[in-house]
Amino acid sequence: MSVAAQPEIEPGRAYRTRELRRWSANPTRLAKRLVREGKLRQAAQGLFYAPLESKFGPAPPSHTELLRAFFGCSPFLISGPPKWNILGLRSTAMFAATLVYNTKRTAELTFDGQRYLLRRVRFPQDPPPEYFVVDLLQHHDMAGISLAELERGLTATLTEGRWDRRLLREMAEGYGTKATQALVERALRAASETS
Amino acid sequence: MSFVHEDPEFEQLLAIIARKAGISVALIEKDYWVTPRFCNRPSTEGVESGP
Repeated sequence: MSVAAQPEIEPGRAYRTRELRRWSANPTRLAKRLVREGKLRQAAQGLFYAPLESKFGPAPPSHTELLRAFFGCSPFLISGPPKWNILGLRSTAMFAATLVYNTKRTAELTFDGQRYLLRRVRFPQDPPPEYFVVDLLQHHDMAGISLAELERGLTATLTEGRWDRRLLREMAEGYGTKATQALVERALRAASETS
Repeated sequence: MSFVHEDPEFEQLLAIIARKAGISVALIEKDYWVTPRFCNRPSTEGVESGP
Protein backbone atom coordinates (compact mmCIF):
# COMPACT_ATOMS: atom_id res chain seq x y z
CA MET A 1 0.00 0.00 0.00
CA SER A 2 1.45 3.40 -0.97
CA VAL A 3 1.74 6.16 1.61
CA ALA A 4 0.24 9.54 0.67
CA ALA A 5 2.79 12.36 0.37
CA GLN A 6 3.05 14.47 3.54
CA PRO A 7 4.54 17.75 2.34
CA GLU A 8 6.15 20.14 4.80
CA ILE A 9 3.62 22.92 4.51
CA GLU A 10 4.78 26.13 6.16
CA PRO A 11 2.09 27.98 8.20
CA GLY A 12 1.43 31.48 6.87
CA ARG A 13 2.84 30.65 3.44
CA ALA A 14 0.89 30.81 0.17
CA TYR A 15 1.38 28.30 -2.63
CA ARG A 16 0.53 28.08 -6.33
CA THR A 17 -0.60 24.61 -7.38
CA ARG A 18 2.58 24.21 -9.43
CA GLU A 19 4.71 24.71 -6.30
CA LEU A 20 3.25 21.47 -4.94
CA ARG A 21 4.92 19.55 -7.79
CA ARG A 22 7.97 19.00 -5.63
CA TRP A 23 5.87 16.64 -3.49
CA SER A 24 3.60 15.04 -6.07
CA ALA A 25 3.33 14.32 -9.78
CA ASN A 26 -0.31 15.37 -9.49
CA PRO A 27 -0.24 18.71 -7.61
CA THR A 28 -3.94 19.40 -8.21
CA ARG A 29 -4.92 16.19 -6.47
CA LEU A 30 -2.44 16.86 -3.65
CA ALA A 31 -3.87 20.37 -3.16
CA LYS A 32 -7.42 18.97 -2.97
CA ARG A 33 -6.32 16.43 -0.38
CA LEU A 34 -4.51 19.03 1.73
CA VAL A 35 -7.59 21.27 1.64
CA ARG A 36 -9.73 18.31 2.72
CA GLU A 37 -7.32 17.63 5.59
CA GLY A 38 -7.46 21.31 6.64
CA LYS A 39 -3.74 21.86 6.01
CA LEU A 40 -4.38 24.25 3.13
CA ARG A 41 -7.15 26.69 2.29
CA GLN A 42 -8.01 27.70 -1.25
CA ALA A 43 -7.70 31.46 -1.82
CA ALA A 44 -8.51 31.36 -5.54
CA GLN A 45 -8.18 29.06 -8.55
CA GLY A 46 -4.69 27.58 -8.27
CA LEU A 47 -3.78 29.63 -5.18
CA PHE A 48 -3.66 28.15 -1.68
CA TYR A 49 -2.31 29.03 1.72
CA ALA A 50 -1.47 27.32 4.98
CA PRO A 51 -3.30 29.15 7.79
CA LEU A 52 -1.25 30.65 10.60
CA GLU A 53 -2.18 29.32 14.02
CA SER A 54 -3.11 32.11 16.41
CA LYS A 55 -4.92 32.35 19.73
CA PHE A 56 -7.92 33.69 17.79
CA GLY A 57 -7.99 30.70 15.42
CA PRO A 58 -6.47 29.89 12.04
CA ALA A 59 -5.55 33.15 10.28
CA PRO A 60 -4.92 33.91 6.62
CA PRO A 61 -1.48 35.16 5.57
CA SER A 62 -0.73 38.81 4.77
CA HIS A 63 -1.71 40.41 1.45
CA THR A 64 1.99 40.53 0.59
CA GLU A 65 2.41 36.79 1.03
CA LEU A 66 -0.65 35.94 -1.12
CA LEU A 67 0.52 38.35 -3.82
CA ARG A 68 4.08 36.97 -3.68
CA ALA A 69 2.74 33.51 -4.49
CA PHE A 70 0.34 34.84 -7.12
CA PHE A 71 2.95 36.89 -9.01
CA GLY A 72 5.83 34.44 -8.55
CA CYS A 73 9.08 36.16 -9.54
CA SER A 74 7.27 39.11 -11.10
CA PRO A 75 7.52 42.38 -9.12
CA PHE A 76 4.50 44.05 -7.52
CA LEU A 77 3.81 46.99 -5.25
CA ILE A 78 0.93 47.56 -2.82
CA SER A 79 -0.23 51.15 -3.03
CA GLY A 80 -3.46 52.96 -2.17
CA PRO A 81 -4.69 54.40 1.15
CA PRO A 82 -2.33 52.44 3.45
CA LYS A 83 0.57 54.21 1.70
CA TRP A 84 -1.15 57.52 0.98
CA ASN A 85 -2.73 58.19 4.38
CA ILE A 86 0.56 58.01 6.28
CA LEU A 87 2.07 60.80 4.16
CA GLY A 88 0.36 63.46 6.27
CA LEU A 89 -1.20 65.15 3.24
CA ARG A 90 -4.69 64.96 4.79
CA SER A 91 -6.08 61.99 2.83
CA THR A 92 -8.04 59.64 5.10
CA ALA A 93 -10.29 57.53 2.85
CA MET A 94 -9.92 53.75 2.81
CA PHE A 95 -10.81 51.35 -0.03
CA ALA A 96 -12.70 48.10 0.13
CA ALA A 97 -9.95 46.66 -2.09
CA THR A 98 -6.16 46.52 -2.11
CA LEU A 99 -4.51 48.43 -4.95
CA VAL A 100 -1.62 46.47 -6.45
CA TYR A 101 0.71 47.69 -9.19
CA ASN A 102 2.34 44.96 -11.19
CA THR A 103 3.92 44.18 -14.53
CA LYS A 104 1.55 41.41 -15.62
CA ARG A 105 -2.10 42.39 -15.73
CA THR A 106 -4.90 44.83 -15.00
CA ALA A 107 -7.85 43.10 -13.34
CA GLU A 108 -10.09 42.97 -10.30
CA LEU A 109 -9.62 39.69 -8.45
CA THR A 110 -10.81 38.16 -5.19
CA PHE A 111 -8.45 36.06 -3.11
CA ASP A 112 -9.90 34.46 0.00
CA GLY A 113 -12.83 36.91 0.04
CA GLN A 114 -10.57 39.98 -0.20
CA ARG A 115 -10.72 42.21 -3.30
CA TYR A 116 -7.58 43.24 -5.16
CA LEU A 117 -7.38 45.88 -7.87
CA LEU A 118 -4.46 44.92 -10.04
CA ARG A 119 -3.03 47.63 -12.26
CA ARG A 120 -0.36 46.97 -14.88
CA VAL A 121 1.66 50.17 -14.64
CA ARG A 122 5.27 51.32 -14.30
CA PHE A 123 6.51 51.67 -10.74
CA PRO A 124 9.91 51.86 -9.04
CA GLN A 125 11.35 48.67 -7.54
CA ASP A 126 12.19 50.28 -4.23
CA PRO A 127 9.88 53.29 -3.99
CA PRO A 128 10.77 56.20 -1.71
CA PRO A 129 7.92 58.03 0.11
CA GLU A 130 8.17 60.75 -2.58
CA TYR A 131 6.88 58.18 -5.09
CA PHE A 132 3.69 57.75 -3.04
CA VAL A 133 3.25 61.54 -2.89
CA VAL A 134 3.22 61.58 -6.71
CA ASP A 135 1.00 58.49 -6.75
CA LEU A 136 -1.51 60.17 -4.43
CA LEU A 137 -1.55 63.28 -6.63
CA GLN A 138 -2.26 61.04 -9.62
CA HIS A 139 -5.10 59.27 -7.79
CA HIS A 140 -6.54 62.14 -5.74
CA ASP A 141 -10.05 61.34 -6.99
CA MET A 142 -9.79 57.75 -5.74
CA ALA A 143 -8.46 59.05 -2.43
CA GLY A 144 -11.38 61.49 -2.16
CA ILE A 145 -9.27 64.62 -1.77
CA SER A 146 -9.00 67.67 -4.00
CA LEU A 147 -5.81 68.63 -5.81
CA ALA A 148 -6.01 72.09 -4.22
CA GLU A 149 -5.95 70.60 -0.73
CA LEU A 150 -3.12 68.25 -1.65
CA GLU A 151 -1.13 71.14 -3.09
CA ARG A 152 -1.56 73.11 0.15
CA GLY A 153 -0.50 70.06 2.18
CA LEU A 154 2.48 69.37 -0.08
CA THR A 155 3.68 72.98 0.13
CA ALA A 156 3.33 72.99 3.92
CA THR A 157 5.20 69.70 4.35
CA LEU A 158 7.92 70.79 1.89
CA THR A 159 8.38 73.93 3.98
CA GLU A 160 8.84 71.71 7.03
CA GLY A 161 11.55 69.87 5.10
CA ARG A 162 9.59 66.62 5.05
CA TRP A 163 10.45 65.53 1.48
CA ASP A 164 13.64 65.15 -0.52
CA ARG A 165 13.05 67.82 -3.18
CA ARG A 166 15.32 66.22 -5.78
CA LEU A 167 13.62 62.83 -5.34
CA LEU A 168 10.16 64.40 -5.45
CA ARG A 169 10.96 66.10 -8.76
CA GLU A 170 12.49 62.86 -10.07
CA MET A 171 9.40 60.82 -9.12
CA ALA A 172 7.07 63.41 -10.68
CA GLU A 173 9.06 63.36 -13.91
CA GLY A 174 9.23 59.55 -13.96
CA TYR A 175 5.70 58.66 -12.89
CA GLY A 176 3.53 61.77 -13.03
CA THR A 177 1.53 63.39 -15.78
CA LYS A 178 2.37 66.89 -17.01
CA ALA A 179 -0.31 68.26 -14.67
CA THR A 180 1.22 66.46 -11.68
CA GLN A 181 4.70 67.70 -12.61
CA ALA A 182 3.36 71.26 -12.83
CA LEU A 183 1.70 70.94 -9.40
CA VAL A 184 4.91 69.61 -7.84
CA GLU A 185 6.91 72.46 -9.39
CA ARG A 186 4.40 75.02 -8.03
CA ALA A 187 4.62 73.49 -4.55
CA LEU A 188 8.44 73.42 -4.70
CA ARG A 189 8.52 77.08 -5.77
CA ALA A 190 6.02 78.14 -3.09
CA ALA A 191 7.93 76.24 -0.39
CA SER A 192 11.24 77.84 -1.48
CA GLU A 193 9.68 81.29 -1.25
CA THR A 194 8.36 80.77 2.27
CA SER A 195 11.39 78.94 3.70
CA MET B 1 -6.27 47.94 31.28
CA SER B 2 -4.99 46.27 28.13
CA PHE B 3 -6.39 46.63 24.65
CA VAL B 4 -6.71 44.01 21.97
CA HIS B 5 -4.56 46.11 19.61
CA GLU B 6 -1.70 45.63 22.08
CA ASP B 7 -1.85 41.89 21.48
CA PRO B 8 1.02 40.66 19.27
CA GLU B 9 -1.55 38.65 17.29
CA PHE B 10 -3.85 41.62 16.63
CA GLU B 11 -3.02 41.48 12.90
CA GLN B 12 -4.14 37.86 12.75
CA LEU B 13 -7.38 38.76 14.54
CA LEU B 14 -8.10 41.49 11.96
CA ALA B 15 -7.37 39.05 9.11
CA ILE B 16 -9.72 36.42 10.59
CA ILE B 17 -12.57 38.93 11.00
CA ALA B 18 -12.02 40.35 7.51
CA ARG B 19 -12.15 36.87 6.00
CA LYS B 20 -15.33 35.93 7.90
CA ALA B 21 -17.09 39.23 7.16
CA GLY B 22 -15.87 39.46 3.55
CA ILE B 23 -14.69 43.01 4.28
CA SER B 24 -11.25 44.43 3.63
CA VAL B 25 -8.75 44.19 6.51
CA ALA B 26 -8.09 47.93 6.18
CA LEU B 27 -11.78 48.76 6.72
CA ILE B 28 -12.02 46.42 9.72
CA GLU B 29 -8.96 48.08 11.26
CA LYS B 30 -10.26 51.59 10.56
CA ASP B 31 -13.57 50.63 12.16
CA TYR B 32 -11.68 49.35 15.22
CA TRP B 33 -9.88 52.65 15.68
CA VAL B 34 -12.82 54.94 14.84
CA THR B 35 -15.50 53.25 16.95
CA PRO B 36 -14.02 53.93 20.43
CA ARG B 37 -13.53 57.59 19.51
CA PHE B 38 -17.27 57.92 18.92
CA CYS B 39 -18.20 55.72 21.87
CA ASN B 40 -16.19 57.90 24.25
CA ARG B 41 -17.89 61.11 23.14
CA PRO B 42 -20.98 62.55 24.76
CA SER B 43 -23.86 61.51 22.52
CA THR B 44 -25.03 65.08 21.86
CA GLU B 45 -21.64 66.46 20.86
CA GLY B 46 -21.65 67.86 17.36
CA VAL B 47 -25.37 67.25 16.89
CA GLU B 48 -27.34 70.27 15.69
CA SER B 49 -30.59 70.84 17.55
CA GLY B 50 -33.69 70.50 15.42
CA PRO B 51 -36.09 73.31 14.42
